[in-house]
Formats: sequence, C-alpha cells, structure tokens
Amino acid sequence: MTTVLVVEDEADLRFLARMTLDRAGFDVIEAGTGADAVAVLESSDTADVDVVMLDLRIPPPDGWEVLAWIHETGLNTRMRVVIVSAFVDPGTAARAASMGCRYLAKPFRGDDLVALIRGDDLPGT
Amino acid sequence: MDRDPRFDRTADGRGSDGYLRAIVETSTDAIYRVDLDGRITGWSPAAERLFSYRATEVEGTPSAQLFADEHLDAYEVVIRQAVVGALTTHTHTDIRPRSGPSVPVALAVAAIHDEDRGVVGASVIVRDLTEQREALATLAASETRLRESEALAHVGGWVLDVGTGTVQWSEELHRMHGIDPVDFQGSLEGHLALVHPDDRAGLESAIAMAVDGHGVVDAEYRVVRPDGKLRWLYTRAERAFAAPSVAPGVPLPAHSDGTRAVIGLRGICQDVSERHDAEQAVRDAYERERAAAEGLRAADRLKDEFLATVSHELRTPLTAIMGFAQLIGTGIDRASLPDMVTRIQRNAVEMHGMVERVLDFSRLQAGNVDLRLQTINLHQLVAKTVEGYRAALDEHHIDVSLAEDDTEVLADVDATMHIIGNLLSNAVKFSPAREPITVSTARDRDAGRVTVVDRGPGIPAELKEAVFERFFQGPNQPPGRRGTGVGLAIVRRYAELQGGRAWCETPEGGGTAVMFTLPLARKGGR
Repeated sequence: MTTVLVVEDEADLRFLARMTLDRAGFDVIEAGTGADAVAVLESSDTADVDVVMLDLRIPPPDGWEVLAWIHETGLNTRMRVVIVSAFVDPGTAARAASMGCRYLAKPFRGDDLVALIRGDDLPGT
Repeated sequence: MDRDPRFDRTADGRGSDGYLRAIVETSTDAIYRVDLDGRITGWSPAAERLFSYRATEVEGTPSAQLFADEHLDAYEVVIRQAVVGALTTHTHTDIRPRSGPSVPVALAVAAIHDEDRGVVGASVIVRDLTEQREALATLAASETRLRESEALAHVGGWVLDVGTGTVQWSEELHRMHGIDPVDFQGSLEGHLALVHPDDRAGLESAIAMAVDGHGVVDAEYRVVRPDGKLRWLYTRAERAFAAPSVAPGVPLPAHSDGTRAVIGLRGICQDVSERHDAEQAVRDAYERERAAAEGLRAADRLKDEFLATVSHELRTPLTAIMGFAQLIGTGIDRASLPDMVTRIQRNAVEMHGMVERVLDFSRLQAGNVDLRLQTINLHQLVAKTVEGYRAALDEHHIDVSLAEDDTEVLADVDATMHIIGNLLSNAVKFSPAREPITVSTARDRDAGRVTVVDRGPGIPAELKEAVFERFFQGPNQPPGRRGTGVGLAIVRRYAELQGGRAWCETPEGGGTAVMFTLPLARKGGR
C-alpha cells in the first residue's frame, strides 16, 4: 500500500486531500506545518512514506525548505514529492521541476491529484 | 616769424636776456605780456599756436578779448591782483581762440618790475589743459564703466595686504555684503567676520594656503548680510608680488614664492546666489521627482504583491469548495454530507468576504464610495451582522456583550456592516479555536463605539498604527488563512468617511481589541 504524507496547513484542504486519497486506496499521514512534516519523515516508524504531497506556504520551515531538507537527507531517492500550491506563476512550476518534483496548482481536480500521487501523467497530457 | 623786440629786452635790465628768450620761445605753454592797461605787449610762438593769432594781430590790443565773456571778470581780477599786489597768481579758466571751441587752461600771472618805474605790466603763462581734462574724463568714464560692469556681472574686486592685514573692497563688494563702505573695517578679520560661521574656517585656511603655497584661492562660501539674508559668493584670488626680485643671499620675507616677496592677494568676487538657488531648485525638483517615481514603483510593487496575494488567497477556499463539491458528486455516504456542506459554506463565506474586501478596497482607492448616512440603532446593527457570521464561524464562540442601549448613530448600513465583518473575520483568523471573541458596543460622549476583542497573539505596540496601512501583513500571521492585508485599511477608511475613527489596543489578558466609532445621531433623529 502506498503511503502519502499530506503537508498542508489549511485544515479543510488537509481533510479534502485525505478524503480524496483514501477513496483512491492510499494510506494518508497528515502534517500541518513544515516542522511536523520533518518530524514525521525523521521518525523511523513512518520511514515508509512513499509520496509527499507538499504545500509551499506553510508554517516554517516552508515547503521549499522542507524539500531542500529531503534532498540533503537523501530521502528523495526513495520517495516522490508532489508540490500542490496556490502559487501559479510559471517560476514556481519550473522550480519544482528542477527539484525533480511534480507540480499541481490549486484549485485542482481530485483525479489529477490522484494521478500525480500515483506517478502517472495527468489525464489528457 | 617776427620777433617781439620787447621780449628781447630783459625786464630786470641786467642783460641776461638770452636765457629768458630761449625759455619763452621754446615753452610749450603759451606766454604773453600785458601793460598796465591790459594791452598785449608780447606774444610767444606757443601763444600763436594756442590762440591762432599772430603776434602782429594782437600786439597793442586788449588781452581781455582772448577770454570768453563769462570768464572776463575772473581774468581781470587775477591780472589786477598780480599787478597791484606784485604777486604771482594762478587760476583756471577758459580761453577763446580765434576759431574752434573754448579751451580750458591754467593761468599763471606774474608782475613785471622795472627798476625805475616799478610794476610796468604782467607776464601771463597759459597752459592748455585739454589733454589733462580728457584724460581725467576718460579715467572717470572708465571707472564708471568698471563700476557698471561689476554691478552687471555681480563681480567685485578685493585686495589683501598681508603686511598690514588690510583688505580693500570695490564698490560692488560692499553691495554684495549689504554693507556701507564706512561700516567695513577694511581688515581680514572684518572680511571673515561676515562669512557664515560654517564656511569661515574653510575660507580662512584657503586664503592662508594661497598666500603661503598654492597661490590661488578658489572658493564658494556664504556671507550673512546685516539684514540676516544669506548670499552665496564665489571668489578667486591670486598672489600679488612685490616688483623687484630679492637679490641672492638676501633673506626672503615671511611670505614669498622663493624669489619674490608676496605682498598679498588680489581677487575677484561674484555673487552666485541665483545660480545656487537654481541649482538647489533643480536638486529639489529632481529629489521630488525621484521620490514620486519611487513612490509609484513602490505602489506598483504593492499592487503586484496584492494581486498575487489575492489570487493565492482566493484559490484556497476555491480549492475546498470545488474539491468537496466534486466528492459529493462522485457519491459519498450520507453521514458525511452535512459536514461537507458546512465546509463548503464556510469556505464560500470566506471567499465572499475576501471578494467584498477587494471590491471595497478598490472602491475606496478610486474614491468611488457613495455613503447614505442615516440614523441607525448601533446595538441592533451589530447584533444582526454578528448573527450573519455565526453560522460560518462555528469553531469560535462569539460572545456578544451588547448592552441593550438605544445609542443611535449616523452611519451607512453597508459600510458599517463591512467594518464589523472585517473585524470579525480578523478576530476569527487570529483567535485560537474555541476561544471566545467578544463584541461590545458603548456610548461615548459624542460617538457610539464598537469593540471587537480576540484572544490571538496581539499586535506589538510599534505596529499599532502600521496595521491600518494598506497591504500590511503582520508578523504573527496564523497558519492557513493569511488574508489580503487590506482589511484594517478598509475599516479605518470606512470609519473616517462616516466621521468616526478606528484604532487598536491591547486588552487586559492579551489578544487584540480593535474599536471604531461613529458619530451620534442628533436627538430625535434626522
């Protein structure tokens, strides 16, 4: 079973992601801040996170800093990161790609989220 | 030329006549002789040239004819004084030559003695003063021109004598300093005393260095006129040297350039106040322009940031609304339905508030606000507005401690509801979940007051004004909802447009109290 760590500070959106991913058959772990996300990833019990769904504007460390930490620790070699953000400028998408991440803009369709978490291409692309 | 034989005789009868004849004939001054009746008895070659009469034409005629009528009296007086008093007399007068205009002359009249007969006549020496007069007139004219040029160019001259420490000014320099010539001390100290205190030391050292080393003063400085007005002067001066060079081996004076003694400085001075004022005006204008451009750029940056923030903030509730609606559409168990609907409602309310804020802000920015002031029961309006928010803000308990009063204010209903809505939205955003939010109304001396208190992190004292500026985002933003940064700016603007004000305080027990006032309606309503 694929385990997804949902990093999102907005409670409603965290709940939305859990509902959507639950129904698609993923295990979901939630983190409301960057610090919570790092704590989850550091803990050996939950070292089997397969995918991180990462919001960018979160209480510190922010999404980019969490991503940098994932690269520093080498965790990126055994998990994928999907950035889901309301920052929709081209620079954000390009930066995500340069860090080896998929990128999904808010608001998103549930199907698109599930596809990217699975590692598929977006439907129709 | 015929010689007057009477010149050949010596008046003193001693026979040394050759010497006198030589003098008379070669003198460039005209010389003639008169008898006791004033008739001409001798006439020198220079007299022929000056008066344009030959000796034969004037001999025996009255010498008075040589003078213009208006000078006759004076002429006769000097002749009489010389003859009667046996004196040599002098006067300045004008002669009348045969042709041409009258000629200014100096006369020297001396009595002629005869051993036997006493005074027998007088000799008259006539010196033509035309050239001297012209030279004086030319000098006077050139001095006038110099003064006029100095005045026109606002340039004056000055001279410093290092030996005595005296300073001489030209007329224009007195004018520049606004000082009457009699009031200037004529010393270097006096010169420097008029310089602005901030510039005095600089000019003094520039002068000292010029005398001893650099050789040139090139300075701009301010002087303070007696009337207190400041003028900017530019001066340039060079060393003046004593004419002869010092012989080798002779010790040089205190000031020298190695071979010549420096006797002082000679300089010009120009009033450059207008140029300075113009330059300052240009600098000021440039600075204003730069500040305005910087202000525009800053406003532009803020606008861009505002648009990006609004875009970002609208996407968050929109994601929730679309996401939950999609979940419901794909079929969920009935038990979850009410919860999802509540979430959609909550996000819709939030989004609506945000859209209202952006529109309010846009209207206020454009000055496009049409307020309809009417008499309103403050308590009722606040209660109604809070009720509208209560459903969407279920995590918070809104404690409305509304004294049941009949305070009536003169206000616009929509604007006041927007104020309260913004304050509630802020309070919800900053208050921890389930902490109470307190709304109260009160009546001040001349205004109705609404206070909204939250139990959030509070506002640092130094930011209590800044939070009312547009686009301001405080340091204690809670996770999730960040807002657009215009809420409190709208609150204050709406309050002020209605004749009230808005501010914030720190209540006892922490958190933030934001209050606004509205003017009381007059008794009996409108």
